[in-house]
Amino acid sequence: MKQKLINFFEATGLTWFVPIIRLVTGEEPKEQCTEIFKMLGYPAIALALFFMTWGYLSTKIKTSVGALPSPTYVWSQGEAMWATHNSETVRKSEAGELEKVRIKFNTLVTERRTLEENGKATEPVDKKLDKLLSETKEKAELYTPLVEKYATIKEKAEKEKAEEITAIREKFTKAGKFDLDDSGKPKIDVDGNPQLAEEALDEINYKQNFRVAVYEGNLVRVYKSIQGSYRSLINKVEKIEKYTQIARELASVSPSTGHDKKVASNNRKRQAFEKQIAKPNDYQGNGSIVDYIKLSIITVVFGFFLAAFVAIPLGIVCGLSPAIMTALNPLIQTFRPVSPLAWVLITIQVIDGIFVGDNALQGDILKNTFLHSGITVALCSLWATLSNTALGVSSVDQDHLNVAQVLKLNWFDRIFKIIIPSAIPYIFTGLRITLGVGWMVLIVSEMMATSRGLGWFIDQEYQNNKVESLANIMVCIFIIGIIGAILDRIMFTLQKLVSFSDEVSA
Amino acid sequence: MKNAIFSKFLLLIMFLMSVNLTAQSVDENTIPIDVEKTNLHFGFIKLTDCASLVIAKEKGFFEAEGLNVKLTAQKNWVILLDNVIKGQLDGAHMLAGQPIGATVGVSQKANIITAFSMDLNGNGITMATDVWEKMKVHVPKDAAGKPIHPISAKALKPVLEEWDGPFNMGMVFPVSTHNYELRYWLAAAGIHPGFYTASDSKGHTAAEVVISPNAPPLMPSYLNSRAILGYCVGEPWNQKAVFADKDGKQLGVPVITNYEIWKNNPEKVFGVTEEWAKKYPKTHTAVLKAMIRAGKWLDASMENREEAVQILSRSHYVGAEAKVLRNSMTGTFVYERGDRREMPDFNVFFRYNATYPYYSDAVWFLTQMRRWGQLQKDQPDDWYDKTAKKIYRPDLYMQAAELLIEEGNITETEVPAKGETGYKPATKADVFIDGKVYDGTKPNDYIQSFKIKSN
Repeated sequence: MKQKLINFFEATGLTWFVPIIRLVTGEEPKEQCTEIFKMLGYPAIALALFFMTWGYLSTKIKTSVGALPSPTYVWSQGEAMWATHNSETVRKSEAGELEKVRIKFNTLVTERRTLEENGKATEPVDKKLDKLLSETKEKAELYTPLVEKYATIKEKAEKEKAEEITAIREKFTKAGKFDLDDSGKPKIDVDGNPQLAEEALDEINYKQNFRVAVYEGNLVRVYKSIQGSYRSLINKVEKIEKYTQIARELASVSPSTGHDKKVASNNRKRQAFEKQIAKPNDYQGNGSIVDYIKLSIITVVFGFFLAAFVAIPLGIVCGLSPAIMTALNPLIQTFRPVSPLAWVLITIQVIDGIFVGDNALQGDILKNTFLHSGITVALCSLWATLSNTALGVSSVDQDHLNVAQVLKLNWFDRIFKIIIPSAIPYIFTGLRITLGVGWMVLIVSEMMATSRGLGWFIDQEYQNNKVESLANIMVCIFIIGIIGAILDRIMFTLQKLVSFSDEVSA
Repeated sequence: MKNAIFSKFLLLIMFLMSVNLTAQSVDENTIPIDVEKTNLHFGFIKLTDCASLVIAKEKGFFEAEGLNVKLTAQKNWVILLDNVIKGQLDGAHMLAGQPIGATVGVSQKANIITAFSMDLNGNGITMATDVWEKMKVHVPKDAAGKPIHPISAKALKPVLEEWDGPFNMGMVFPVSTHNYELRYWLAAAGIHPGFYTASDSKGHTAAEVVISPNAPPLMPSYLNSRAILGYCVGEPWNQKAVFADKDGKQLGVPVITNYEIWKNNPEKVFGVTEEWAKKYPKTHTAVLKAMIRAGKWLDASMENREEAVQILSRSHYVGAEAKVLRNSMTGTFVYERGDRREMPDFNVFFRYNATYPYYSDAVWFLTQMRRWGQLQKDQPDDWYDKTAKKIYRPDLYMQAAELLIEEGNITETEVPAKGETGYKPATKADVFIDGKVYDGTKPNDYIQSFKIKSN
C-alpha cells in the first residue's frame, strides 16, 4: 500500500507527498520533517512574499478604473463568482421544472382538443386541467416566502454595509481629511461636495466593492423571475379556459346575428393561447464561471485531439521519408510561429463560410464559435507534436529496423510494431508541449471568436470597465493557471508512463 | 344553506386571489401571436441604449408574447452585424446608420431592415481634461462663472492651432451616429474633420482632427493612455470619464451632448435581415410588440428608470457601476465635477414617437454619408426616398402597434396616426447646432447648404 502510494506520487510528479506518507508510517520522522519543511516551507515562504508584494502594490497602483484589487478583494470576488454559479444552478433546475409543467398543460389541452373534435365528452380532462391549474397556482405562490426570506437577508447585509460606509465617511470628515488642490482648497467631487482624502475614498470604495450577500441577491432575482414565468403560464392557461368556456356558452345558445363572427373571433384567441403553450422553451441562462471553465476545457481537448490526429500521422510520414520532410519543411517553418490572433481570423471566416445561415451549428457545445477557437488551438499547437513525431520516427534504432528486416515484417507491421512503439516517448513529449501551447492559445482565440469560455468571460469583464471586473479577471488568471498546471501534470504522468528512462523533466 | 354560503365565500376568496395573482403580471391583456420561432437570440453592445431589449426580457414583455429570448453582449459593431448577417443572431441592437450603411454598401453589404427605433439622443462628446482646460478660456461663461452650454467647437479651434502633432479623436463606427455627430459639431465651427474618398476608407483626407473608430467601453482607457484626446460615444462611457481619475483630476470632460447638436436625434435601432423578417413575420411582430411596451415602460416614470439602472448594471448587460449609469438614465448629466445639470431628454425611449422608424431619419444619415464622401455619387431626391423606404419599415411597426392598441396595452395617441407619411416636418432653426433647416424630402438642398462637404 505504502509503496504503491509512493510510486503513484512519484509517477505524477507530486513528490512532496512522499515524505508525508513516510512520516505517517513512522519512517525516520526527523529526516522526513526536514524534507517536508524543504518541500512545503520554501514554497510557503515564496507564496507569502508574493501575496505581500501584491498587497503592497495594490495600495500604490492606480488604474483608470480605481485601485488595483488586493488579494482579499480578489478572493471575495471569487466567492461572488461561485455564488453566481450556485444561483444559476437553481435557476436552471427551476426552469426545468417549469418546462415540465408547461408540457403537462400542453398534453391535457391537446387531449381535450382531440376529444372535442371527435365529439366526445371532455369532463375528465377538464377536471385534470383544473387540478393542475390550482396546483400550479399554489406552486407559484410558494415562491413568495422564498423571495421575502432572501430579500430580508440581502437587505440586512446591505444595510450593514451602508452603515459601515457612513461611519468611515463621518470619521474622515470629522478629522477634516479632504483632498486639497495646489492652492490648499478642498477639491470637488462629482456632486459638488468637498472630496475626501484618497485614503478615505480607497477605504470606502473597498467596502463598497465587497459584494455582500451575492447569492441571496441573485436568488431573490431567480425566484422572482421564475414566479413571473409561472404566472405568465397560468395566465395563458386561464385564458384558454376562459375562451373554452365562452365557446361552450356560444355553442349552447341559439345563433343570432353576428354569432358566427363571435365564435370565430373567440376560437382564434383560444387557438392563439393554445399554440403559445405548445412551444418548447430552451433554457437560456447567462452562464457562470463553471460553464466557462467547462467549455474552455472541452475546447482545448477538442483542439488537442484534432492537433494529434493531424500531426502524428503527418509526423510519421515525415520521419519515414526524408524527401517529404524536406518538401514540407518550409511550410512547417513558416506556419509554426504564426500567432493565434492571426489564425483565428482566418478560421472564423472559413468556418462561417462553410456553416452559414440555416446550416450554422446550433448545438449546445458544437457551435460555429466553438470550432473557431478549437481549430485555432489545433493550428497553433500541432507543430510541436509534428516535429517531435518526425524526430522520433527518424531516430529509430537501426538494430530494430534490422531485426524487422530479418523477420521479413511487412510494411504495416514494421510501422505499428517497430517504429511507432519506439517513437512513442518522443510523440508524448510533443503532445505535452501541444497541450500546454493549446491552453495558452485558447484564451486568446476565445476572446476573438467570442466562444463563451474563460477567454470570452475575461473580455466581457474587461469591457465592463470597473474595479470589480479587474478582480474577476484576476480570479480567472488563477483559474487558468491552475487548470494549465493540472493539464500539464496529466501529460507529465502519461509521458512518464510511456518513456523508457526516468529522464522526464517536471 | 350554511354550506352554500361557505362555498360562495370560498369562491370569492379564490377569485380575489386570482385577481391578485394576475394583477402583477404584464401579460394580462396580451393576445399572443402564433409565432414561427420561440427561442430567439439577440445581440447588443454594452451601452445604456440597449435598455429596450434588456427590459423587454427582464420585465417579461417577451415572455408575454411567448418568446424565449437570449441576449448576448457582442464584442464590437462589426462582429455584431456579421453575426446578424450570418444568422448566428436573430436580430440586434444596432447603430441607426448600420442597416443603412449595410444596404447602400458603405460597410459590410447586406439587406438589413429596421422597424423599431430604440431611443433618441444619449451620446456625448468628451475631451481630455487638459484639452478642456485650454478650451475653457474661449468658452463664454454665465454670471456664476459656469460655462454656457451648448459649447461650440469654436472653442477648440484656437487650441488646435497651437496643438503640437496630430489631434486624434475616437468615435464608434464609420457609419455610426457618433461619427456624423462629431463631424457635424466640428464642421459647424469650421474645423475640418476629414473626408472619405475612393482611396481613403479611413476618412482622414484633409483632416484637421483625425477621427478613428474604437470600441465604446474602451474609450476611457484610450483617453487615459492618450491614444486619443477626445471621443464621441454613448452612455455610460462619457460619465465614466468624469468618475475616473487621472493625476488627481477627472479623466475627461463631456463638453456637449448630442441633444445639443441635434435635438431628439435617432440613435439606435433594432435591426434584422430582410430574409429573417420575411421568414418569420409573426415572430418579428411579436418582438416589436414586446419592445414597444418595454420602451413605454422605460419612459413611464423615474422609478422605472431607477429599476432599469439596477438591471443594466448587472455584469452580463452593460456592467458599469450603477452610480455611473444613473447619471444619464435618470435625467441629469455631469459635465465637470460639481457641474451637474438637468437633462430630462438625455435618454428618450418612447416619448416623441421615439420608437417609430421615420423615413426622414434614414434620409438624414444618407445625406451625411454623401456629405463626408462615404457615398461618392450625387443622387436625385427620389433615390433617397426609395432607399429609406427599403430599410425603414414603419408599416411593420404599425402592425405591431395596432395589435397593442387592440389589446389596450398602448393608446392610439402614443403612436403616430394612421396617415403618417414618415417624414417629419422641416426642422426649425433651434434643432441643429448650426441652425440649418433639414427637410427630409429635399435631401439635396440640405447637402448643398453645407460649406464643408465632399465633392
